[in-house]
Amino acid sequence: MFDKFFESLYNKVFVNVIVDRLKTTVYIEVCNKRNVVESAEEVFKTTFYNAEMKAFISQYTAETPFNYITFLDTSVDQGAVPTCVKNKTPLYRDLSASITKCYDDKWTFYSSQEELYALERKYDKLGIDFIFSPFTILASFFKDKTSKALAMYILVQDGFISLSIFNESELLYAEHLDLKSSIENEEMLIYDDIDEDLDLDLGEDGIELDDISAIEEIDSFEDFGDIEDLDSIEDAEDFLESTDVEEKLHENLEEEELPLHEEEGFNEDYQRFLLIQSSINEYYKDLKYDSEFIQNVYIADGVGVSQDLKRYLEEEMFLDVYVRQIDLASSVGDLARVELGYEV
Amino acid sequence: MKFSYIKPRKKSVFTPEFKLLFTFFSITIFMLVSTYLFLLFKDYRFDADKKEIMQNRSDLNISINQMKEQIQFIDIQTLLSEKIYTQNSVLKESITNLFDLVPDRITLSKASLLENGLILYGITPNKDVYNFMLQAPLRSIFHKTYSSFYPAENGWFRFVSTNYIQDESLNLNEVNEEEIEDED
Amino acid sequence: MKISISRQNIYLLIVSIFLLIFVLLFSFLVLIPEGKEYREKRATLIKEQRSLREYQNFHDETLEFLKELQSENRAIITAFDKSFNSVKFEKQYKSYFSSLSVSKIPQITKEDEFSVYEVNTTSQISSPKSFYEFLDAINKSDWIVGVNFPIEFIREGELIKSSFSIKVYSNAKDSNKSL
Repeated sequence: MFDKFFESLYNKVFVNVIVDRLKTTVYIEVCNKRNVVESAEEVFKTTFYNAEMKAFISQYTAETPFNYITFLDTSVDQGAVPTCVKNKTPLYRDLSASITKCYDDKWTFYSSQEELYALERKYDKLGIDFIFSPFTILASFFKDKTSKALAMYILVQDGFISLSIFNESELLYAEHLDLKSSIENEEMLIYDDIDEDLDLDLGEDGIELDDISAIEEIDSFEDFGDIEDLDSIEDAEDFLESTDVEEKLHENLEEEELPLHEEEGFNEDYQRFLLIQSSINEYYKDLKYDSEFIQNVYIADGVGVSQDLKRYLEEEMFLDVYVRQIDLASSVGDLARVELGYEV
Repeated sequence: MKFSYIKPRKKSVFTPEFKLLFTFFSITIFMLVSTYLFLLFKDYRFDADKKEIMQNRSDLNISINQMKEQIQFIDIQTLLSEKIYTQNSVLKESITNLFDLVPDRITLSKASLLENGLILYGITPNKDVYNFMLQAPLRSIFHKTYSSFYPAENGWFRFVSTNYIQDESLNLNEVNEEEIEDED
Repeated sequence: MKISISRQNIYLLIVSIFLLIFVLLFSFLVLIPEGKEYREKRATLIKEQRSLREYQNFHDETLEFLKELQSENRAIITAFDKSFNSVKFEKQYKSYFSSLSVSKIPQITKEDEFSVYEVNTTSQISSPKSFYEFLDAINKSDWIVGVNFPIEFIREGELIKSSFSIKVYSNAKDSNKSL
């Protein structure tokens, strides 16, 4: 009875925490009854809850008891299955040790119980109110597209890739991929080759060769750039039906240039590509899933992928790739506000 | 929750500080209020007691007055009874003295004792005896004495002695005093 | 230097101040006057109680005194209370006389707070001595009796005819003297 009155006395504070491999982004929004009044963001070079983070967060949480700490799920063992019916989920995956939630009565997203508890324990001193699955972020980010024709939607974070395939709001396949494991486990010939090359040359002119290789890469990039344009034009001519003209325009309008490669970036994007590739192959192979040929791929770029990834996907897998930049922290914040009834 | 795996923690406006503050103040206020109520109650009781005392006092007053009246009345009664008793005693004394006064030789036939006087009827052998033995003492007692004689058959005289005292109240005490003096 | 206090603390402060003000106001405006009244009333009550006790003591003393007086003068009090009866009187004092007759209907007069019954008696005595004894006895009578003038003695042979009036004093009937 008085609760409503007390609530109205205070603003609500949303503390959205995105934990990456080496850093943590904390994005804070202060909201009054209807809209965001203030926002602040800071990146901390840690993956734990340290004093600096505490100081930053306390600044805002001290103002009101109605503060909500939101996390993006960092579990490795998480994902989504295409059904909401409890009997059918075991067909896809054993979810006995997972916490599941139904999205829109159409598909279920899940995460490992143990890992969620571990996350809560890790941030015990801070306290967590919401934990969101990246698939929900993905679904709401590409809301306008998922209801349409079959396409693949990928959320790229710093250490994970959340991959999903939607057709007219129905989820057909989803997988949460861990970059770290792929680097550890996969034996990649190309990777080895590059390594070997470097090893051979390092003895004499290590630095120079690096420079040369870098320059070569830059040159090749420019070429690729040109070819890419040709490709896009070709595509436009040949596959009019399946190309997303809107998205293309949107991409071109975006001023942000995709970064030129870095040594690591190059590798990582390639890793990403490999993971995506294997995941898609799995999708095609596995009889559980209704496999149809995928034409379009929408990437929500939360980390800043290079053009390489797009190129790999287009060349190797003949996909139409559209990249949208996503402010992950902000999206998580939006979702948190929706949870509490705000209009986003 | 629509999207979150976990439910948010309970948010309360009442932080521990608030709760402490409220507890402290509510205890204080409770004590103040209970003291106040106690005082109110006591004041009410005082008024009631005072009323009762006033009532008692007036009752006692009435009772005391009643008793005083009774005491007074008893006093009056005692006085009156004393007076009556004394009166009776005195009367007895005076009658005794009177009859003692009369000498042997004189015989009384009638004696009327009045409030302010005495009338004697009798026979005396001779006037002298009467005059000396009766008249004289009577004269000394009474203010007015009259005697009249009537001769009788055997040579004796009948007499009527009328004696009055002037005072309104018969002071027969004087008779006693005289007698005592005479005897002395 | 700008000191910022969090909203929470501001609310806390406001509530504290409110409560403090309330406590102070309550204490001073309500509690203290009431306390004063309490003290005053208590003092008055003690005084009153003392006064009552004195009254009570005096009352008790008076009662004692009254009771004593009553017991001392029991005979007189009962005598005054007793209503006169000529027949009874005649019977009682017959012994002192050879013969005694008392007039039956007394005359009633009022004297102060008492009603006085007056009766005439005629009697015969053998010697004045019995009359003396009668007079002695009358003082120990059940009634308050006084012998009054006129008194007459007339010799009739061996006996002396005596006549006198007696006045009997009694409490007036309409008065409310409860004993």
